[in-house]
Amino acid sequence: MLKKPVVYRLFFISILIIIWELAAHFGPYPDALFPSLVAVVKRLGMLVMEEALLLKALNSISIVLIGMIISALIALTLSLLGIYLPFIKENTKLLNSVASPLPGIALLPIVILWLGLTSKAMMLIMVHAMLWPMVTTLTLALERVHFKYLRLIKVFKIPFWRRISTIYLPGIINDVFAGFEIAWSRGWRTLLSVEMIFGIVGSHSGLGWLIYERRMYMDTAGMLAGLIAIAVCGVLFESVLFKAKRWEVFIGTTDLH
Amino acid sequence: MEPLISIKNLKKRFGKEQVFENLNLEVFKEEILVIMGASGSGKSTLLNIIAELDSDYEGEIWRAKELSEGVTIPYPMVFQESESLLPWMNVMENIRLVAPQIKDDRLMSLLKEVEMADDHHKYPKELSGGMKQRVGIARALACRSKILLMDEPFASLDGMLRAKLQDLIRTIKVRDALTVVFVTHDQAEAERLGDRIIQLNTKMK
Amino acid sequence: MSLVKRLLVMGLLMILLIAYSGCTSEKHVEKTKIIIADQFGLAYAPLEVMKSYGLLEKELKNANLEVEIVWQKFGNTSSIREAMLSGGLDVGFVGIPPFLIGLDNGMDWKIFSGLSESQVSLIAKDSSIDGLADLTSEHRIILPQPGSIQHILLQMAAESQLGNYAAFDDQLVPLSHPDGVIAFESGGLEQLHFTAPPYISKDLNVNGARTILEGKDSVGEDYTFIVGICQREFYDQKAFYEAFKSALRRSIEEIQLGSDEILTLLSEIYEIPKDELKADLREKTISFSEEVKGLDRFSEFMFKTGTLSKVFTVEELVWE
Repeated sequence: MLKKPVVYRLFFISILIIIWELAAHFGPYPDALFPSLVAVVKRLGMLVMEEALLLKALNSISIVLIGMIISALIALTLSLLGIYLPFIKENTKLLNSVASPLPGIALLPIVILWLGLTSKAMMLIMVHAMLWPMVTTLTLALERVHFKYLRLIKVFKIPFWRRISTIYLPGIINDVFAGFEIAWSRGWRTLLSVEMIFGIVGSHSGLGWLIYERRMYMDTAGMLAGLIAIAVCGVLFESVLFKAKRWEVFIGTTDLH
Repeated sequence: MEPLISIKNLKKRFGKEQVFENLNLEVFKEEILVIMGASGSGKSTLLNIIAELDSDYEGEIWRAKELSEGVTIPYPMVFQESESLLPWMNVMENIRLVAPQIKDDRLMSLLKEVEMADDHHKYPKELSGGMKQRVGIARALACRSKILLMDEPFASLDGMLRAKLQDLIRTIKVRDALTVVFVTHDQAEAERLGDRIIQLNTKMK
Repeated sequence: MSLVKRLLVMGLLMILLIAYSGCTSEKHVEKTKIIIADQFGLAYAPLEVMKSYGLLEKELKNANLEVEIVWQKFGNTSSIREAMLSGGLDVGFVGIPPFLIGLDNGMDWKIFSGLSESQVSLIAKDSSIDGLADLTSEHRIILPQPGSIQHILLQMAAESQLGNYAAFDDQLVPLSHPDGVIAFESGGLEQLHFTAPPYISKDLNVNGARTILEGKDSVGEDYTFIVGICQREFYDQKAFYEAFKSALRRSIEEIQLGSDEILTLLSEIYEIPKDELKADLREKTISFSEEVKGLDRFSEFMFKTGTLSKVFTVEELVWE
């Protein structure tokens, strides 16, 4: 018997599919509550063709990516300044401990009151969701690298900007990618829940809104298709980012500290 | 002979601990001065003070003008292996880091001096401990300073390798007319290498 | 036991569990309560009258029926649909379009009575907008949900004025009427609110707010705003069904009479001044009747836009 993990997973999934189909066809559930998987897959196809599912997925993904980049830049700036300015370091810690536990979705009503139902409001929520774990990771990483090469920097008088490009950034690149992974998962989940509850905050239609809309039109099969699309995106992305770790080995920056 | 560096009545504290009490020291031109002492006796601290990394002390330090004339980095250092080269840069890039204007032929001749010319494209993880220290030395030399500081650079290397590198230092000192201040806790190394040896004990003179 | 056998046993257990949960649905249980769903707004006033005056209790007593009456308020229609679908609701009050969507998706429900006709208005704060043609992609339209009557009215107007019914489908913000008022009040000029009484007057109190679209203009004729619907299950329980219909009829009559007592009651519940209420009723901003109007118009339009898969006949839409 093959012992590969893939086999276990496929087997389990097949059983689930069989149970689902049996329940949908023979169970006492109306189609609108419990559609068959065939219907769901058909809906998935229809959503790709007619409702621009791929475009909406791309919209959602791009919002998270942009938020990730903005968060990374802010986190890097705060960490960098924190090394040289104790005022910044202490207050970054303070902000982090206060803001980090707050889920993005809880802040949304206030943000909407301040900024309206605009893309700015959405980006603020996204950045908040992704920033704080990055700040934690990057401050630690940057401090570690800074202190490791401090004597080198001082003896050879390496100027500030060159420190950043030659020592700090290459030194923390592992942690930046790790930060990206965490940020991505937090951002993705926040975005979808915001879209599902508050609709389109911003200018683009996304996957969360798609699910919400499907529910409003009683398209349960469509809703489930949307969920599948979300799961697929999440998995794909998390393994694409994982592959980023392989880039690091290629560049030659891993396992060297 | 006039000293290059003259230290008088150096006092330094680290919190409650008095590291130096009235230390007097002179560094003469083109000598290899070895500073010896057990761990914690303050030898790295002294080296840092000499390198102008630490200005938190009492006492007088006089430095000859020629040390800082025309050089950006007057007190380059060769460190212990672990804080030595940047792992994400190759040999050439590591040297260029501290001397961005350096010309290719000078870089290569420096590498020849430390016998690392063939490995100029290699990354630190491809180099042995001894090779990495050679690069560290070339990096320091790239600064064109009059004095070279070394903080236990061969501490993690084995006997034979050490001897080779100690000989290399002697050769370079003569060839480039350098003054070397060398810190170590190894008696044999001190005796082999040093023109003069200064011993640091817990109570300093 | 080998891995395969273990998995098969687990699978079997899961199937049994699902079958069991199906069997314990409420269908086979004696009726002990009537659950009624309504939503926010003056359009549901007869229900408030029914509640306050105990009209349903009276009818049930007359018919010698003993059940608990449960009232549930919902913020949007899809929740009402879902609750009915899973067997937790007997009677609901919704707009015609959400009812049609439910029907189209296999729900076994029909209209048993009209409830109210009402002004339904799109209100804007931005003084540079006079009509739909002035809206840009930055504007946001707050309404209860996609597929609500407000949404369909918007689509109808977009179709006739701009030739594109879906022009604003990506600019919707789903909020219940009360939440929508708060968002409209505190938000920027990019927000509009498509709402019904008493929320229209609350919105109009905001600086610079005015109506830029009226529901009746979209439809082109009188239409029923809210209808009462129930599933076949409830319809088949004749005694309860008739009792409810009678109670509803009574409530509507009471409001039409417009006694001072009723006006005071409604004024308190909806937090609007009595005079305003009186004026609304007199001017037919809102009116209550069992009649159902405009079914064809909605049915045809939603079929045209593809929201519905077919055009329904009257028999398919109304009980009796």
